[in-house]
Parts: sequence; structure tokens; C-alpha cells
Amino acid sequence: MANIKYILAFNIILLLSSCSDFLNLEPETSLSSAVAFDNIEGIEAGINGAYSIIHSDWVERQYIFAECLMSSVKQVNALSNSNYTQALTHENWSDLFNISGYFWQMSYRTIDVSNQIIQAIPNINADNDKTAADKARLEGEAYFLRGLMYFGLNRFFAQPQNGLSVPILTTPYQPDQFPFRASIEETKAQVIADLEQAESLMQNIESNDGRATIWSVRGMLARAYFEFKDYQKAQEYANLVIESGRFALKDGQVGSAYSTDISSENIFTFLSAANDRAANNLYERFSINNANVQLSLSADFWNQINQEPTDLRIDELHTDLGGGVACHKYDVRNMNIPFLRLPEMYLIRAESKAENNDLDGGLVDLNRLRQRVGLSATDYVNQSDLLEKIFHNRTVEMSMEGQNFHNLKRLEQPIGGYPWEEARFKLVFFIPLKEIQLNPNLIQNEIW
Amino acid sequence: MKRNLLSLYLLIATIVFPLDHMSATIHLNYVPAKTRFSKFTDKDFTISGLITNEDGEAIFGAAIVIKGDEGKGTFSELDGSYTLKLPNAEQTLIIRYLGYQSLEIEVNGRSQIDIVLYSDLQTLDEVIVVGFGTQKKRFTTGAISKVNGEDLQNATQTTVEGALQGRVAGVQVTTSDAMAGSPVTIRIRGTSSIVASSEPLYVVDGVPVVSGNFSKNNASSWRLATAHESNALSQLNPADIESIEILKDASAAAIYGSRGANGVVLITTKGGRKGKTRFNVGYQSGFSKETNRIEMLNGSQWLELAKEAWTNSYNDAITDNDPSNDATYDISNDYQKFWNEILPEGLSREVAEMTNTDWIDETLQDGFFQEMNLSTSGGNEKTLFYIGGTYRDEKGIFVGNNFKRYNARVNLDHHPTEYLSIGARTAFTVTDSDIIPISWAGGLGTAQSQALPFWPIFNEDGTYFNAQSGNNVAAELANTEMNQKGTSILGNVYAQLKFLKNFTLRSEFGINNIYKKEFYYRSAVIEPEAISTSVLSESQNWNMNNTLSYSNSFGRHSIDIVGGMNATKNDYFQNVINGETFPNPALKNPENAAIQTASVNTTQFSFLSFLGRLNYRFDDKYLLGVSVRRDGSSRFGSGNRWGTFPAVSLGWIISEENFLKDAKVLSFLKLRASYGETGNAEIGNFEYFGAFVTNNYVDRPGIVVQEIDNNSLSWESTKQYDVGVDIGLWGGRVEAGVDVYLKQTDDLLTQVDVSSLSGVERVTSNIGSLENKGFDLSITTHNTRGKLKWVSNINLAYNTNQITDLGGLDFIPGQLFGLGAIGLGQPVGARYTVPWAGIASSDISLIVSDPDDPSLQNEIQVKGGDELFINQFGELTNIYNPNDQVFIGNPTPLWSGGFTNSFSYKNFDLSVLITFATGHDLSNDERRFQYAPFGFGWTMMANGMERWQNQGDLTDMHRVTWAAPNRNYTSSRVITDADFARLKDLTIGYSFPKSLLQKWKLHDFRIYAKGTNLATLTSYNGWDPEYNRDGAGNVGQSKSWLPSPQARSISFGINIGL
Repeated sequence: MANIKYILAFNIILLLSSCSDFLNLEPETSLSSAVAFDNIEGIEAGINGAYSIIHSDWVERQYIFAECLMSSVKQVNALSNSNYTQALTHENWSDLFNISGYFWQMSYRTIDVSNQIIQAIPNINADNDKTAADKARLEGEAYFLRGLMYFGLNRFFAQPQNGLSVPILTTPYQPDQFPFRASIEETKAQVIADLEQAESLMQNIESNDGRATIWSVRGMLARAYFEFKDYQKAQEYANLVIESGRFALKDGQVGSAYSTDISSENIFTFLSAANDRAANNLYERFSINNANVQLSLSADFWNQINQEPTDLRIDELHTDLGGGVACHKYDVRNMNIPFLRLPEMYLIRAESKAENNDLDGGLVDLNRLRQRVGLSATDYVNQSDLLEKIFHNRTVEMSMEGQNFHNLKRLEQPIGGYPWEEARFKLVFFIPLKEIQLNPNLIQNEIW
Repeated sequence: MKRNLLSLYLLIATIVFPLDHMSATIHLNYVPAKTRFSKFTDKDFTISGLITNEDGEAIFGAAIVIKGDEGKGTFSELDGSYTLKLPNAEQTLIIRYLGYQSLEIEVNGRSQIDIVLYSDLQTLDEVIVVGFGTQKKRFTTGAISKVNGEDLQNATQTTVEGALQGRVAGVQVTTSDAMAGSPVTIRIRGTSSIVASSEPLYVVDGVPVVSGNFSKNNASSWRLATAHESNALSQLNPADIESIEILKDASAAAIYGSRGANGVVLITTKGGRKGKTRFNVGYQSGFSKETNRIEMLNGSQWLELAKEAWTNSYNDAITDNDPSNDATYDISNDYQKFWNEILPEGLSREVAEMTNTDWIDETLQDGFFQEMNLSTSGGNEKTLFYIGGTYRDEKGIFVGNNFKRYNARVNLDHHPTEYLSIGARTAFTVTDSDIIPISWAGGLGTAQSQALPFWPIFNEDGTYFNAQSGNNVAAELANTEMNQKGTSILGNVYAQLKFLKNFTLRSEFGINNIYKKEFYYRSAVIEPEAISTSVLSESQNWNMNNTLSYSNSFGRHSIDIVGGMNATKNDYFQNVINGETFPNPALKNPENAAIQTASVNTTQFSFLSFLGRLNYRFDDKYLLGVSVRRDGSSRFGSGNRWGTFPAVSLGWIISEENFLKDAKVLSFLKLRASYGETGNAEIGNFEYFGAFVTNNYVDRPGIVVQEIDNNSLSWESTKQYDVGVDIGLWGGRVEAGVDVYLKQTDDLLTQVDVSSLSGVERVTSNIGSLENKGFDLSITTHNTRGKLKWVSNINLAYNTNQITDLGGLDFIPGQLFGLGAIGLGQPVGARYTVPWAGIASSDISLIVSDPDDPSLQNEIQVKGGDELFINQFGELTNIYNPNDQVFIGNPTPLWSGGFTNSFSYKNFDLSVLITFATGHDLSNDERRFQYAPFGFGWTMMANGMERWQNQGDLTDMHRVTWAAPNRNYTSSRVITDADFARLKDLTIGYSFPKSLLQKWKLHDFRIYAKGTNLATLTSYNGWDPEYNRDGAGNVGQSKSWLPSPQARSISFGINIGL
């Protein structure tokens, strides 16, 4: 009985003495934000995390929204995302439906982690050459990712009517921050500044393994300058990439980019693993391997691209099934997604040359691409004829890759059945309603 | 409200009292059974007679004493007779016997008086379990309700909480569906949170147990989800329960501090009793069916309406002069385009026109259950024991749903010395259930939505039709496996030491561990590749209580003090493995899959608390209770981790005052008042913690932000005021208690949107206030006694719920399915939608204000059969504008309660429980698709046939069109009244008479028949008015999505005791 007394007393003492630790629990499977970017491994994990955010859905959203908005697709089975139906039918997708929300979220999530890394990097102790090199690369990637995000946001949210694009943050977000929307020009400048900063930091980064390299950065600079209509710079960067010798066109093998490998044509690739399936959503929308394939090419778009049936891209990457035209680019569920491809660089260089009145130079690049897809060399009548031919080649090349919509915007062409003057104001995302409610400084885009 | 209460009371009084009042009067002005007048005036006067109970049985050992000279007296003999000498014939006798009401009789010169003693009906001396101790009911100052274990015996419900329904005032119990082992929602005095759980804390024999949903299925495909939560409390066996106490007000619950704001349910299991070892055997078995079945369109009706819709849309296109639409709804070529649109691959028009599949029929079946109980108990001076075991086997009313449970319990108490006791309460439960998808996940959900009646079940070649669409319910049910196996251990050991006469030291250590193994599989018949998921989860929960109590009386002062500490820690671990693509249909385990993914989920929480309580009593009349608990929780950052939860309560037993002491009618009257503060910390475990989680980029380790630092997060705090009266009349023949309360919850735990620029979308935050106020009332009356005993209990609660502050906002929009909008001044969960105004009976034109510029008026054309709405200007319109949304409906009952009547006559007994709830609505969200099904490939309820067709038709059902203009939106049309009264429980039993039992050497032998949910009175036109959306939280609870019925059952049982 005396023992019991001691046991009771011991019980109580044991507990009272350990009470301060008892409540200090930390989750086992997550990392406190206070220490997340304390070391170089943490920074690298943050960069990988950023790729993981954008490598599937972010790509898929911007591809599908762009194709829906330009009416290059039609629905063949129920779309598993009703937002796409709204984009496709150009139904009033007013602020109620928050269509743009997820794309916005993923973009700013990536921007925030980039900003945290850019802020944390100077505090990392570089005690050896390797760490110093890693630091430069990771900082460069952070700038690259941020530039990539602002480029994507600007494409969809910039409203020429009020000249506004998206809020620009270059330091980690603070809860009392209510940023204004930057102007379109400021946003474009930010994209270029970030990518050029990345370029300067990543000079020797060459390994093409699903993370950004110096060539991914330069390729993106070519794409950005081209879309911002600085054809001089666009040509310069496209040229750098083409002449680098790192990449090679694969004549006769137009499908090589859409596989589980990294084709020699790929400049920047989002990787996928068997159980990861970056392209899964694209597969579910487009692939006829999926019993409930959701999208096919619209008749108009098919008529537009189907002009030279021997073009391997028409012959091998598309099939007219009668009820619809299938696109075969996403038939492999766990394929890598080729985000920047060498043919685009040729197209940029060709068109930039043509814009810069080097018509013969432009023709050489165009014919190089025609050779790649099994077509004979062509010629031009005048500049606009050459531009028209390059435009056609680009439209075929980029089919279902989410780029043609923005190309039409660059060229101020009618889009999705609307004349340019209407399309430029209408085919723009709304700022997510939630952001408008939380930040009085944000001005909503006009309702269509 | 007052009027309602008064009229209700009068109603009960009218029903119950006429008959009763007479007998009460008779009883109080006692007239002896046989009276013989005597004229003796001698000094020594002898009186004799017989003492019996109300059943005429002799009472042995009753004390008969002389009033004023209580030293003199005698006891009744074995045959009930007594003889007593009195100084004279003008004395008054007092007769006392334990468990019976004492009686005073004036002798008035009589020499023989036969006396009938009535059993004591007052429950005032019952012991009530309160947290960390017990009290006599007479002296409690908090609002505490008690349910005795007998009331829960032989319940047909699988779970303990389910059996509480209708039995306790102010405790609203809702079962989410008829699936065996389903979760039960309990609201004690209303919903007191928006985001945090509003479920009470459950404490079994001192151990706070894991409650709520346990199965967290992180399966790779939503198709593997069940839309069904499993109930951790289904581990408890109703047969083992001695009593359940429900702590309702803050003074009672504050001893549970930050865990007490939703009330506390204390469950005490059975212990042994001194004496002969008793054995009890029980068996019951029964059948069940759905309470109600709704009618959907049959095949030809669906096709008829669909074609009509197509034609209407075609005509609309012509009237609206929209040639593209006209082409869309092409009716040439014998509706070829229409048929192309509706016929899935592999179905011909001829087959479709001949087919009529009742998909609901494919999902429902007759249920069956059986339960076997064995228990033994007994003990001696030193050791008491109870050992019980139960086996329950249930086949649910849903095809494919099975539930098996095995319980074992051993409760032991040992007293090695007078001062020491040690003991254990241990239970072991194994469950094995096959569950099936319902609601949005499939099964009955699909049968009332996307399974169309003109589809056949099978193709001509015998394979399932359209098997991979996910909508062939029969194919789905035959090719899906969903099994959950659970093992749980609930145990508590204690040692208790009395010392220095008035002190008691008690130490308890308990565990509640639940292990669960889940397996989900979908075959390659219904999926492109077979998929399966295997889940293993474990929740380890330990709890320690150490208390020191002191109890003493000094003259008229009595004092009870308890102080102590409590520590609880929970570790949760879950392992999920998903597999896809199998080499052979016989291999289903993810181990065999070509593609495998795994995830591990762990989390923990701990609470550490120090508590103290003082109960002081003066003169057995004036009561004071003071308690305080200081609580720390790992769920909050170190700056906000600790909170203090005080409570104070006062009681005054007025009936003990001299001016009422001799009142004939009023036997007990107590006034109570209390105030206390409690908390609610039932949110996720690390929500204050800014954290990154792993999110790999292919095979490269990566992290992404999951939560941002949220150090200001703290608990919700609830202040509750309660005033109550307990009344006993006629020595307990009527006992009533009524409490009026105001419950104010501040710092509500709410999900608040934050800008995406922060990297996250939402944080949990303490914003806003809400209040619940109302009253609860319970009246028990012993209407008749003697051969026919009739006892009634009515309990009734009235509660209003209102959000009183939203941190300066008057509205927070909802997220999921638009479920979640909350508004200032509204109850939690009111539906935010556009008011619906019926169906236009003929073409009209209306003038409405322009929403963009209200000074402008527009003329709009309304077609006959259009839906009409009320816009923000109060005008009738056929335009659905989301800006016209307002809050409509009350999601939780204003009035709820139960009415029990128990009768016994000779060896027969009958008990009837009616439960009811009124003043609330259900928002039938699925009907927005069911009302406009054709463009979506949905089906419709059969009342679709009453659609508008011709000018002047008066109907509630719109004119059908293919693309209904307002199809995508919910209007108040889907909100319906859900008032109901239900015959919840009816039991008829027969106990074999003592004479036979003696012959058979048995202690008890009872057989009974029982019906559950036998009849329901309601105007609700869906499956069942009793509905609770599984897993939808407080805001979504009464917003239905493809709901299902409850079960109605009839069972027969037998109980034998030896």
C-alpha cells in the first residue's frame, strides 16, 4: 500500500516537471518556415518545389485556356473542368466563377517562393567554390521562375483598355501589403529584367535535365522579346540558342518532343515520372487513348492548318476521325512536357529577320523547318507573303501548345470569332474576385 | 416563445393530470385499507397491521416509529405484519423503508392499520457523475442531464449516441445516413462554431476519446472515396453502459476547459455489484428497410420529357429568332440529332424506348441484423467485476453494406484495504465493415442523378452496359470493394487512496487506441485500369488524471474540494498506398500493381490542464460551486497557448426553507444560476505553424509552402449564462427541470481568405462572434401507479442561433459548392440564394428595374412555365441575377425534443418514444440539377411530370427545356421545410412471472419486440427529413447532396438473467 502512495506521487511529479516541453509539438512531416531556407539544400528544395507547382497544372491551364479562347478546340465529351466550358463558349465568365483563380494562385505561389529565395540567398554561407556556384545557379533559377510567372500572368491578365497588368512583388509578401496593378509596360520590363538577371547568374549552366539552363533563359528571352515585338533582341536571342550547338532539329521525327525522353529539340522541358504524370491533364483532354477524350480540334482550326497534307505534323500528329480531329501530342500520359522547343527559335528568328527586312534570311529558316517536316522548299513574293508563310508554319507547329492565341494577340488578328478591336479587350482574364475583395488597390478588368 | 411554452405545459397538464390528480389526492390524504374504530381509552394502546408495497407484496423490515419519540418503534415481520405499543391512541406513526416514500399516519384511535408503501419516485438522491467526481442530484448547481443505461439497452441503433436521440432536453441528435456505423451529429444547445467542430467532448470512464470521423481516405481517385465518414464512437457497446451524463451549461463543462464549449458527454460503464454472480444473456434480431423511397422518372417518362424539352428549346429558338439554336435543336429527321445526343455508344433507340431500369432498386435491399450479448457481474467485499461481450452482425439497407462488431469488456474494482481501491475499465472492440459509395461518390447518389432510366443494366452479350461511365450503378456496386477493419482499445486503470479521513488521492491512466485497415478497389470492368488503395491508420491517445479531493462537514457547512491535473496526448499515423494496373484481376493489393504511390501522414496534439473545483453547501439549502481550469494546447503558438476557464454557480433549495417545508404538493424546488467560460480548440493540429511540406519535382526533393505563420491563432471562447429551476411535486410524481441559457461564442475559429500573393489561400483565424440562446425543459410524470404504471417524459428544447459579428464584415462568401456563405445576423449555415417565386402560369410582360441603374425600368417578356424570382428591388422577374441573393432558411431546428411514454401492466411493458424537430429547413442542393436534368444527363424526380405545358397551367414544375436558362444556379426553390415528428421507438415486452422464474431457476426472463422509425409525420418530400450532410461541417450540414433514407426496423429479442 505504501508503494501505491509513491507511485501516485511519482506520477504527479513526473508530469508537472515536464510540462513546458509537453505542449511543444512540431509536425513531423513539415518544415518550419523559419528554417526552410537556412541552407543551400533548403534553397534547392525550394526551387524544386517551385518546379513541382508549375510543371503540370500551370502548363495545362495556360495551354487549354488559350486554345479554348481562340476557338481552336471543340468539346467532344463533357469537360471535367467547367471553367474550360465557359472559356470555350465565351460565356460570361464574370468574376463569379473565379476561372482565373487557380492559375493566379500557382503563379503567385511560385513568385513568393522565388522572392523568399532571392532574399535568403545572400545569407547563405558560401564556404567553398561549389556552394558559390550552386548559389549563383539557384538565384538565377529563382529569377528565371519569377520572370516566367510574370510573363504568363501578363499574357492573360493585361487589359489594354486600362493599360494594367498584374501586381509586381519582388520581395516576400507582407500581410499589410496592398500592391497596385503594375502597368503592362512595367510588367514587361520586369519579365525582361528577371530573365536577364537569370542570364547573368547562369552563364555556365548547361545540363538539360528538366531544370532551367542558360539556354532555357535565353530561349524565354527570345520568346518574350518576340512577343513584346522587339524583333532585334528576339532574333539575337533565338540566334544564340540555335547557334549554341546544344540542340538539333530532328528531321522527319516531329513526334520526338512528345515522349518520356528529352528530345534534342527540347530547350526547356518539364519532367514527368511514371507516377507523377505532368501531362496527365493534357492527356485526359486531348488523347484518344482516353475513352472520354474531351477536346478535339475545331473544324475551323483544322481547316486552317490542314493545307499541306504531307506535312508530317499534319500527317503524324493529327488524325481526322470524322467526328473530330484528334491531336496526338499528349498521347503518353507520363511524358515530359516540352515547354520550349528549337523549332520555335527558328520561327522566331525567321519572323524577326523578316520583320527586320532580312527576307532571304527569314526564308532560309522557314525552309529549314519545312525540310524538317518533309516539305519542299518554298519561296516568297514579298515581305507580307513571307510573314504569312511563317505564320502558317508557326500555327501548325504550335497546334494545341497554348501559344497561337498569344501570337494572334501579338499580330492583332481576329481571335475566336471576334474582330481584333473586340478580342483584345474581351479575351482577358478577370482578376480573381477574392483578390479584389482583399486588396482595395486592385482594379478589376472591365466586364465584357 | 413564452406563450408556446405555456400552452405546451398546459397541454401536458391536461393530458396527464385528470386521472393522476385524483390518485395523488387520495394518496396524500391517506385512508387505510381497513379501518376498525375502537373506543379504548386505556393508557397502553396496541396497534397492528400489514405493510405491503403497491403490488401487494409484503415488506419485510420497514421501520415503524412514533413521531416525536423516534426511539420507540418496531420493524415489520417477514410477512409484513407489525405490532406496536403506543402510549395512547392519538399518536402519529412514521413508516420508513429504503427506496420507498416515508409515510406519516395519524392513528386516530384505530387499532389496526394496514399500510401501503409507495416506491420513492424522487431521483434527487441519485448520484450524478460530474467531471472528476460525483455529486448528488439534489445538490448539483449545473445543467446536467442523465440517461440511465437501461434506456439504452436493446437499442437497435449501432451506436451509443444514436440511442440518445429524443431522450435529453437540449441535445439534438442526427444520424447522417442509414449506413451501419455511420457518424452521428450531436449538438448540445446549438451550433457554437463556424469552422471548428461543434461536437461535444466524449469522456468514457474518465478518458477523453477520439470521436468524429476516423477514416481519412487519401485515395488517388475520387472514385475510391466513399462520401462516407466512419464513426470512431461506434467502438462503444451500448450494452456496457451504466449511465450517460451530459454537461450542458458552462458551470458543469468548465472543468473541461478548452474542450468543453460544445458540452461534454460523460459515459460510465457498468461495474459489478456485491452478491451472487449474475449472468445475463441477450439476443435480438431484426429486419430493416428504408424509411421512405422517392420516385424518379421511369424510362418512358424521361424520354417523353426530354423530347418535350428538346422541342420547347427548338420553338424558343424560332421565337427568339436565333437560327444557330434552331439548328442545335434540330427536330427534322425524326429527331435524329436528339437521339444522337442522348444515346450513349452501344444503345439503340429501340432498346432505349423499351428499357425501364429502376436504379434506386439496384441500391437498396432489406437489411437484417442480429446481436448477441453475454455478461456476468458480481463480487464480494473486496472485489467487484463486470465482464461483457457482444457480437453484432448487420446487413444494411444499402446493397453491399455490412457491419460486424465484436466487443469485450472487463471492469474490475478491488479494495485491498478500507482506504485503498484499485481497478480497471478495459474494452476491446473489433469492427469489420463493408461500406459502399453514396451521395456524390456513387451508389444511391448516382441512382438519383446520372443513372438514366432508359439505360439497360446489361448489354445483350451479358456485359455491363456503359460500365466505364461511372453511372451504371449495378456495375459499380458489383465491381467495387470498400472494406474497413478496425480494432480499438479503450482502457483506464486507477488507484485511489483515502487518507486523513477526508482526503482522497486518485490517479488514473487511460488509453484509447484505434487501428484501422482500409481497402478500396475498383476493377478494370469499371475503370480503364483496376485501381486499389490500402490504408493503415493508427490513433494513439493517452490520458492521465491526478486529483486530490477533500470533503468534510462542519455543522451546517459542507465542503467538497477537488484539485488536480490532466494530460492528454494523441498521435496519429496513416499510411496510404495506391496501386494501379494489375497483372491479373485476381490480384488486387497495391503490392501487385504496376504503378504504386505511397503517402504517410502523421500528426499529434497534446493538452495539459490544471483544474480545481470547490462546492460549498450551507444548511443543505444554499449551494455554491466555483471551478477553474487552466489549459494549454499544442494546437496554438507558444504566445497563445494557455487559457483560463472559470465558472461559478449558485443554487438555492427553496423547498428546504421553513415556509415550504410542509408544503403538501411541492416536494422539491431548487433555483440555479451559473456563469462560466469554456473553449473550443477543435481545429487541425498545426494551423498556427508556418510550414513547408514536401512536394517533389519528379525525383528531386522539393518543398512548397503549406501554411504561413499564424501566431495569433487561439481558441474560441464561449461564455454561458444559465438559470434553471428543478421542481418536484407530490413526492417526485412530477419532476421537472427548466433551464434558460445564453451562450455567447467569441473569437470564432474561421477560415479567412488571404491574398494569393502570400503563397497560400486561406488561414484559420479568430474572427467574429455568435450566440445561441434558448431554453430546455424536461418533465417526468408518474401518471398512474399500482398495477398499471404509466410514466411520461417530455423533453423540449428551443434554440436560436445567430452570428453577431464577423470581424466588421457582414458577409463571408462560401467556397465549396457555394455551401459556405455566412452572414451577419444569420444562423450558421443559412442558404445564400435568390428567392424563388414559383412558375409563371402564362405569358406575361413585367417591368423590372435595371440592376445597373435602378432609375431605369426595363420591360421583360416572361413565357408561361418560366421560373420566377424576386429581385433585389422586390420585383418579380424571370431573370436569375446572383446579385439578388439573400439569406433564406434556418438550418437547425428551433424546437426539438422527445416524448416518451412507458407503461407496465402485470408482466407486460410498453414504451413509446416520439421525437420531433420543427422550425428548420433543408436545402436540397441536388435538385438544381434534378429540376433541369436534360442538358446534364441527369434524371428527375417523378413530379417532373407535373410540368407546365399549356397557357394557364398552375403548377410548381417549370416548362422543361433542353438548356434551362437558369439551370446552373440554386434558388430558394430547393429549400424545403423539414419539420417532422417521428415514432422513433416502440417496444413491447413481456417478463415471465417470478413463480415461473423460480421454477426455472432464473433471475429474469424477458422477451420483447421493438420497432424503430415506424412512422414519420412530415411535409418534407425527399428521402427523409432527418438528414445531416456527412463531413460538411457546421455550415454545410443541412444542405443536402443526393441524400439517402434512414432505416426503419422491426426486431425481436430475448433477455435471460441467471
